[in-house]
Amino acid sequence: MNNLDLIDKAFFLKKTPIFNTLDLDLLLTIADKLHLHTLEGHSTIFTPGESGNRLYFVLSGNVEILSCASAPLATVAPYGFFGQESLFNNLPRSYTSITRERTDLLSLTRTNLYSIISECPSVAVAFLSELHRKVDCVF
Amino acid sequence: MNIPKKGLIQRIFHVYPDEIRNSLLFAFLGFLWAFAATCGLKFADALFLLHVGADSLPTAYTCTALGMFGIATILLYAYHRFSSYQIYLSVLSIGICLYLFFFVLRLFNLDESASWFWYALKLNGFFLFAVLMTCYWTFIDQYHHMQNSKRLYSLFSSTVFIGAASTGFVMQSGFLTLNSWILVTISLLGSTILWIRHITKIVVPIAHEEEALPGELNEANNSFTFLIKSILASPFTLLVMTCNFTVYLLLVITEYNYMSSFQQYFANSPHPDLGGGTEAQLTLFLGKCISAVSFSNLFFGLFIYSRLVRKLGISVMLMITPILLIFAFTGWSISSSLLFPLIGFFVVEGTLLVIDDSNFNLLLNAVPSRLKYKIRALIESFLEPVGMLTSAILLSFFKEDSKYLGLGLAVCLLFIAFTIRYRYLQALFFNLSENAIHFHRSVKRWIEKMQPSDQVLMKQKLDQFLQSQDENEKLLASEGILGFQDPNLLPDLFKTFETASTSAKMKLVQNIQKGIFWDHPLVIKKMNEWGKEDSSLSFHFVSNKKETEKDFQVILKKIRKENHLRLETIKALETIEDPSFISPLIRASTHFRPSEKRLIQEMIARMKDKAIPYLVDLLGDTSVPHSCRLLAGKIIGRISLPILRDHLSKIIPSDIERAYFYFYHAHTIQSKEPLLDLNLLCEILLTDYETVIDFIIQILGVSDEVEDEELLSRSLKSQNPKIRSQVIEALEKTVDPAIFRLLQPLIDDIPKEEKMRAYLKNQQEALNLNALIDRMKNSSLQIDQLKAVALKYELKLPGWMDDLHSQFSSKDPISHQFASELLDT
Repeated sequence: MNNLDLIDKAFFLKKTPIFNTLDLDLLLTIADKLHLHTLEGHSTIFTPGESGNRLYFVLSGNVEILSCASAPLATVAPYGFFGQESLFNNLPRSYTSITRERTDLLSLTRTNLYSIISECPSVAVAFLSELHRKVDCVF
Repeated sequence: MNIPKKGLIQRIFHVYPDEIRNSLLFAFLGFLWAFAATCGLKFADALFLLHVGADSLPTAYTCTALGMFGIATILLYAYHRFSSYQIYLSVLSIGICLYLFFFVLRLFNLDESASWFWYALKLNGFFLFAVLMTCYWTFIDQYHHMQNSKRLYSLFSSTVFIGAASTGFVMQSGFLTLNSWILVTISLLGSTILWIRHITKIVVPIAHEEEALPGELNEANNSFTFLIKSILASPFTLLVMTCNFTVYLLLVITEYNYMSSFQQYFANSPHPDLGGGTEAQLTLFLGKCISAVSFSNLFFGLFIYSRLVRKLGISVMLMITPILLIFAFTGWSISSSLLFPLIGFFVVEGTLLVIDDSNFNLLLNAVPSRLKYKIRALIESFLEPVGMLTSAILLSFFKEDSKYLGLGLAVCLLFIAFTIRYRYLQALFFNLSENAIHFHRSVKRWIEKMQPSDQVLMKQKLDQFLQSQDENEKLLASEGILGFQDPNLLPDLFKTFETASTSAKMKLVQNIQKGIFWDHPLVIKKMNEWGKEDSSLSFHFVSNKKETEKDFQVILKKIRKENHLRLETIKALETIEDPSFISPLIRASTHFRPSEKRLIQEMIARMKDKAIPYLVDLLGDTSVPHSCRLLAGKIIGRISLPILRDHLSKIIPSDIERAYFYFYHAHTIQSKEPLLDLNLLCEILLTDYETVIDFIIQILGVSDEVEDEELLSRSLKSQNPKIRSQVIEALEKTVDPAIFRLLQPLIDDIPKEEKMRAYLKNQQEALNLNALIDRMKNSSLQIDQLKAVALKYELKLPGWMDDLHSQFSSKDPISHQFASELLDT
């Protein structure tokens, strides 16, 4: 997916749970800072113990989340995201993420994420909502 | 809190106490790999001469140059796909494997008559040295930003030099055989790997967020074409590459000229007493020169360079080599004195290594970050052999006029240095701008910044999204279409929303009302139509109005009239002759909208000199809110920039003192009152400190001292130390040196003890809690006033009741409410 431009990224972000309340001007601003990664199937994105400074959104394909013991924990489908924990708690990655098939990811760095949150506090609220939704699912 | 005195290491090497451990780690790394690589290089050179002969050197040089092109290509690809840490370890491992291979060959005596063995050894030595040099600087760059690299990089390059020089001692000792030399090299390379792993375990890199994922494909950004396009799009990068290429040309030409001069000099003045003829004299002389230059290089690199670059700036350091060479080549052309060849020798063996290499490391910080490591690999692995090859060709054509050739190139280098000096600040701003997030950029602005072909593509995509069944996508696309600000697009836009839901239509109208088409006849007509078709829409359009008129033209005119009420009032003030309204008007402007503030600016600026005394009073009054002082500053700037700058030179130092005050007390007040929980107070003081810094940068921008003060102010708060260091560099280049000297310790990433030392050095007072609270009570910042009253209340300090009542009586609703809640308790 090499011809993904700014407007495509902005429209993608609008469908994500974190940025779906933002207007186009902010979405374009954030889209400008997204970095596209294309990986083949069964590629490792990160492993436990690595330092984490990016949050990933799945553009296409699927990403499997595995525990330290390689037990499957979750699957992240398009418009989902993962990798945000290390950005907030400053700890190394605590799980493995692997692509199941050829996958396109859009990533956002910690520096940019913090800037976005300080400018748009609603993004932080959206993260909290997602966190609580996931916790509710577990319970 | 006791601030420890400066240690010896800090005084001599300008290494802060918390940097000592890391600096020693990286310095030792430089020594280790340089010792290893130079062992391989110099022993191989010596053995090549012994076993193959000097006649084969040109072949070896050609193979080296061709090999470096291949290596440059591999390195460029590697920097796209792998981290600098992985590349560094891989290169060292490959080096170990190759030397093991050579060792095995030696054990089986397979090398004795094989000249290819000595060629391979020599080439391997050169390649390993060149690649490890690139790897080392790229690796340590992960851990340093521009400001600390100015202080520390010359120290690291000195330890590299010491490592290289250590090879000379080992070679002189003569106790190493070939086999033991190979084993020593392998051991040193292995130790380097272990040391690097040790460093990565204990030192945290500065945000290296641009690395690619392992296994990442992304062919578009990996291509060589993309790299070339990126380089061509960055004039500063091109300048840096041109500068380095010219330096490589000059290196060979200068060396040729001084070697020729030395040879001629000693051939013409033999001293038989020294024995061995002129060769011995020349060798002895060169040996003395090399020793002297080596010693001065070490001394300069360890103690002088970092001080000079911080005092004079990199743009001045760039001039040293070209000026020396111009002087040398000019003198050379007219005199046969040994002075000029000696200057040339000093430049090639001295300044090029110590000054220009270090300058290059610093200048790379202004190259776009995505290109940085590739540019280093390109220059060191590709441009260097090309430069040497080119100068060899030039010398073959201009042998007789080589001094004039050198002079011409030196003048070119000086011109390039001036251009780099001019472009340096722009390059820093470009980097900051690339890294910045443009939150205040509208859709219209995003479209304007695109190439025309991209605008067309965007329009096509928006049209596609407008046809989507998903109303959210349609609405988002409508925002994009409205961003083009083309009224011809409105009919199609309305057409796509004809069958949309009521809420979507409402949202569309809200989007339109935010922009320039809010009173366009087509919009009003459509709102009338939709209002008639759907009564809920009609209700929404008139819901804020008490009137029941359905004529939107009339309603819109009335809305306009109400919004302009304050503006009309401000305009009316202009008719008043007495300028004394200026002060209360500007103080009230904290509640005004941007359009109202702009009108105030224009109106007061028209009053010219009459307004200046009032504006200057406001600007210098630290009890006035910052936004009001900024507004006053902007107006003075419009009337007369010299008057503003003149006053700022007196005002800004006192604001800098305030910033120091807040910073110092934020870090010391808790230790003075250990039994109290003053966490919130410390947070407030730190926020005050940041607010004052913000104000200083904004007011410097108003006075045209800095460009794009919004960008600098935002970037200074970045989490990324590399971005913050670029801001400091940009400020250093633009702000008055006296102001920057006061400001720098505050904003630089230095230990907080240094900042507090700077505060106390200016004989500033260290207040106790009571005095601090009293000071905060009189602050212009409301949060300070509230916290001061709250603390006095909590601690029951003398006068707390009076202060609380005073705040309760305040006209400001927030202060009143705050005091009221405290009194209720």
